[in-house]
Amino acid sequence: MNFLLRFLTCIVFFINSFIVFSQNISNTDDQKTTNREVVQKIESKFGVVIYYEQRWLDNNTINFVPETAATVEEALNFFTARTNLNFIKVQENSYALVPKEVLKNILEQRDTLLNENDNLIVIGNINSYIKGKKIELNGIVKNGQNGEPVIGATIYIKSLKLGVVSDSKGVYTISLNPGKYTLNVSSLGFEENIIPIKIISSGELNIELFEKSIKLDEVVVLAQSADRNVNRSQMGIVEIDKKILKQIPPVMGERDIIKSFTMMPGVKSTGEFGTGISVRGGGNDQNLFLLENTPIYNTSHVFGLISALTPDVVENVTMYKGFIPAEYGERVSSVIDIQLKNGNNKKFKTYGGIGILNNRLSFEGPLYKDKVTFIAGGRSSYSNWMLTKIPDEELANSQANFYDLILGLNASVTPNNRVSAFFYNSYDFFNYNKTIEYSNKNTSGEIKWTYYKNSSLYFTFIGNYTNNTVIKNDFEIPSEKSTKEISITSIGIKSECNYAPGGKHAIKAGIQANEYLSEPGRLKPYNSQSFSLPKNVNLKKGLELAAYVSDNYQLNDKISINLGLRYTQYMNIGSDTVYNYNGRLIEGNTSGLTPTIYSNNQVIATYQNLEPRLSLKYQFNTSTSTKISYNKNSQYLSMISASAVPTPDDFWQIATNYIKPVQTTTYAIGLYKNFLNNSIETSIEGYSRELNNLIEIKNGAKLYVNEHIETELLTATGKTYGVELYLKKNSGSVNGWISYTFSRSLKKTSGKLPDEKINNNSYYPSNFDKPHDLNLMLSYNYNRRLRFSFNFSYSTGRAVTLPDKIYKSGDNWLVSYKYRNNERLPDYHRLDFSISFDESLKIKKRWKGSWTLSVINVYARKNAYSMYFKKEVPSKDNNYREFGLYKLYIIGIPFPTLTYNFTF
Amino acid sequence: MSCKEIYNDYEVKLDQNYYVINGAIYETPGPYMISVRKVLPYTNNVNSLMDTLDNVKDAEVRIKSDKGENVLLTEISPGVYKTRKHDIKGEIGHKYSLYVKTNDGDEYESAFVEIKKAPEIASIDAKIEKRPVLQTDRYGEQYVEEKEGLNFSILSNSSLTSGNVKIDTRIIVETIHSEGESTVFCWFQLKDEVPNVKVLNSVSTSDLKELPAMFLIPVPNLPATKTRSIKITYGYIVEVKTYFIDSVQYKYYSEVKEQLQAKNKIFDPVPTQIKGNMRCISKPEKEVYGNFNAASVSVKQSFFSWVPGLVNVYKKDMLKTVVIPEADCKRNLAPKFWQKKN
Repeated sequence: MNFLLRFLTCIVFFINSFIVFSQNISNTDDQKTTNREVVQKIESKFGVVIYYEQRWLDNNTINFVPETAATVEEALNFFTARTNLNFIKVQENSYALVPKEVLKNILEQRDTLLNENDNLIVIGNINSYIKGKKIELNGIVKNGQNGEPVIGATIYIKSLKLGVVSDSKGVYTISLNPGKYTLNVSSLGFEENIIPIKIISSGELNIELFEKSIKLDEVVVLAQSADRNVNRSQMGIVEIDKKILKQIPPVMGERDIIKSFTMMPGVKSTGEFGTGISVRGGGNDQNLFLLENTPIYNTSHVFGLISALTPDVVENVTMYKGFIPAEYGERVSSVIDIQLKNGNNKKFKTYGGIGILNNRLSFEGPLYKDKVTFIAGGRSSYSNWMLTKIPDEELANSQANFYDLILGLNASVTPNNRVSAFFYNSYDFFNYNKTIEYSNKNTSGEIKWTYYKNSSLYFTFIGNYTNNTVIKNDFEIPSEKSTKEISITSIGIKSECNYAPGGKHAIKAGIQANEYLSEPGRLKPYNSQSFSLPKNVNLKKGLELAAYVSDNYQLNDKISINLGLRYTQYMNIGSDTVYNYNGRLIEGNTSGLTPTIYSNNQVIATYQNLEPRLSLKYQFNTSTSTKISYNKNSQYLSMISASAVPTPDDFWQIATNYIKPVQTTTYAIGLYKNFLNNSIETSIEGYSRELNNLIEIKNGAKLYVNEHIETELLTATGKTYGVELYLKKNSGSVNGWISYTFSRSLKKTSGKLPDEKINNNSYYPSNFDKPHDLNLMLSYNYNRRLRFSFNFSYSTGRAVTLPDKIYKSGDNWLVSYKYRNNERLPDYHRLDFSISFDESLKIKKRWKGSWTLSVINVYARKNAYSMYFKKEVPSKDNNYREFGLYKLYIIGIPFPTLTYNFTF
Repeated sequence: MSCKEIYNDYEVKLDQNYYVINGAIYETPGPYMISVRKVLPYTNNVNSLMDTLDNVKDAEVRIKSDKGENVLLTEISPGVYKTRKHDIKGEIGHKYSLYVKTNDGDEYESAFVEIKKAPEIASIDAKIEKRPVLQTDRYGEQYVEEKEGLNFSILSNSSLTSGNVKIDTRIIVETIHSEGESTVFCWFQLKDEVPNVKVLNSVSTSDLKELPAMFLIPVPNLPATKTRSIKITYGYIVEVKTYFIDSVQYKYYSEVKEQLQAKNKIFDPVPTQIKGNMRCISKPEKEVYGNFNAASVSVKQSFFSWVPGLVNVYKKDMLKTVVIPEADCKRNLAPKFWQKKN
């Protein structure tokens, strides 16, 4: 009965647009009774409402009033028997008149949907069936082997030429008419799953894909759908997962998630093997590294030799380098979103690797039935045997070791509630020639609750914590041994709502709060014998509040738009002491300055920014599209560093009343064209970015443990622009990509006093200016398991400041630097090569091992990492020079590594 | 693997002449010396510049005081200018300035610097310590070795409550040799390689602060020559001078110290232009380097004798400051400054 009622309701809705209420009709004729009058009389007599379309009644005229009918049904039967209409009861006291032909069609269609009994998967409830109304099919595409969501899977309906792509959680939504369809679900590296369905009303269909044995002629390097570069509405997105990683020659025996980005257009390493990356000319500190939703401040081990996260626990990494969606803030250049695996919900799996620098081990599996899964991984370095082999006295006298650990849990508490959490810890220790000792510790954690209201609406609530502490022990001057501690802590909460109605919209809205606690430096004597004086810079506190909303709207087959707005309010809060410099600080003398003391949590300075985000795609056809984007971003946290490459002395400086937040406006345009059935991708993207309130350091600035750091800093504006070309071959035995970027990154100060001017206030190259950048990645699959990979990189040397004058002052020779970034390091180029023998393709084989032999820097290029001026004791090593300009290179020889990776 | 190498592919040309002007006036009697040299375009091979120092001749050099003194210095060698002994003498509580006019017509002047009383030195002490020290072997290869040595320090005895102090340490190493029937007394000097500057906070007589002076590794016995036998190192005369300096001077010396120590070795340095207190008054935008200081000096000398391996250091305070000439030797007769152990 319930079904019938709903069914009839649907019919009413179906004819809703044509129907009029009979009560509203007042047209009467004394001479003859019209059908309308008959219906009105029935309504009046029996106290019911009858729905109909006017034109249906106009074609029938009878002169009969059913005065004798005892019931409404009897009256309607009598009436309809003399017309081509039929009636149906919608609900109590309401009926509808429908032409007999129309009703017959509806009933036949219903019966068809109800009675077919083939192999179709039936989705939806017949009680919810409404003819002609668009309904939604949604669900999650998962890896059948481990239950992990499959990102970027294509769900395609050939008959409609309609397709959608699963998102970062594997979720897809597609809008359809009720009916029968065949879903072709595919993702690279997985067997295609063809699913015939019969969809009656909105419903859910979770799909599993299984990894396939790769045939030689089907080798594809991207896990995402091959035409995604053309289809998706956003631009400037780079995605890297384990399938891409496999193609790239590993460094130090390990495939590196973060460094892999530097082979993509617009992304450059700031120093060979350095941890920092520059995205479209931005600084190291302008990239937000998110582990799930938690910011990570130290992303590498051993000054950037390898990334600080074991790759086995990572599902995928996405970089937003152009258009940054509104849900992301905090940084102005890029967001690197690292998604962890959920953990295999089918069986326990173990991954490991034995390399020359470290070994690693990871586990994943179900903990409780199908509800709770875990992932755990860790790495640890060997003893510093490698350093002892280096033919450099100082490095041979050095020590380095590290480890990292991660534990993640995922629990489906109820079908609608999912809770996940992770804990991450990394540690680095480095002792340089027994004169300087660094330790770097990172601790992070997150808990996330996701509530699925229904298939198109879910909410997430996140709390996270991260801390990075660097301790430096300086033994260089034995009588002044000191310990310096620098730390940054971030505590955040976030709530987000995701709503995807009708398959055309993907709406996100959320609120977010982050508290930053920055300790720029605490200096104390290393021991009681040390003459070093204790110095302490007050803890700096900032609170960033944000609210955002965005909609990814598929306007039609050709146009889609991603529109977002982010509002941020930032407060620098106490307790702290703020000095009024009356213009400027004179020669380090702070006496006579009037300090203002702020109590705990008292607001010192407030800033707010409105950050619109827009990305628009116009798709010419299935293989060609063009996109434009516009972004405004702000950043309330900047790294203070004297160097282009990150150093352990660097510290995070929050925005204060003197140091304003960095603001950027970015425009970008791109053209995307695929060839040969998406087997070849090409793109060209151009961008221009304006930057305000950039931090620049004065000449000779005393940056470290300085309570008056603002007096050592300048405000600069900047501009970056560039063009990025990209060509990628996705399939075949030979595949890979080539990218070329031309870009500039320039800065300019506008100070009035001599020491407030850098290069006379004219534009000069920033530390990250490398105009030409070329990357070639080539992979040749000899057979299903044997692969040869080559990677060649070239870039202009980065800008550096070198001394231009030398003079003798007293007994000492001194140098002077005049123009900032007046010179460049020599051009950088390097060729890497690897041979990989992949694991067995036999699905039933439990232990699977793979070997990779790689040679980094094949032709022994001594690429400069940094350049520095140094006074030395004359010796054979320095050609008996007392002073010298030195070039430091990290690897000046072909460096072979052999790695064994395993899984069981 | 990781390594460093001299970078030679870099050449600079300067667009004009820049000068470096250095000198000082003290509370102690003159003469005082001022040097005027040209700044050179940077070259990686500094050693090659040693012979090509571009000293500035025929400059007009004057020291002025707030008492109205205006003394012209005489050029005694190219680029080196000297006061006459009684022309001018620094006095505590008075301010002094340096004026230079080069022969291209440009004029330079320092800020006025006030002479303040230098912190007195109560004593010089030495402790035996072990430290890692960079050594060079006979093949010129460098290595680090932990060596035992003497850590000299001073105790300040000033009524100074806060301020900046510069400490100059000089050690005269005495050695004795035999040459035939003769005994030869030799000596040479060790000096601070970098300026030793400190900030003092609340130092008083009741709160003496130990200030590091110098760490000395015992000089190895000198090798025998054809005519001279090996003789042991005899002792060390440690001379410490302290100067009270103002914040501008402190900033200057600490920048010099920082550059010479070249911290953050493997990373880009903070670009610096070490600016002393000299300014070009005829062309304010023109850069000038160097520094003029005015200070009082506190001097203390002590004699130490120690043989590596022994746990005791013999010390004798020198009651009167002696003038010690540059390195030399004297046959049979010990020089006047020569100290004995008892």
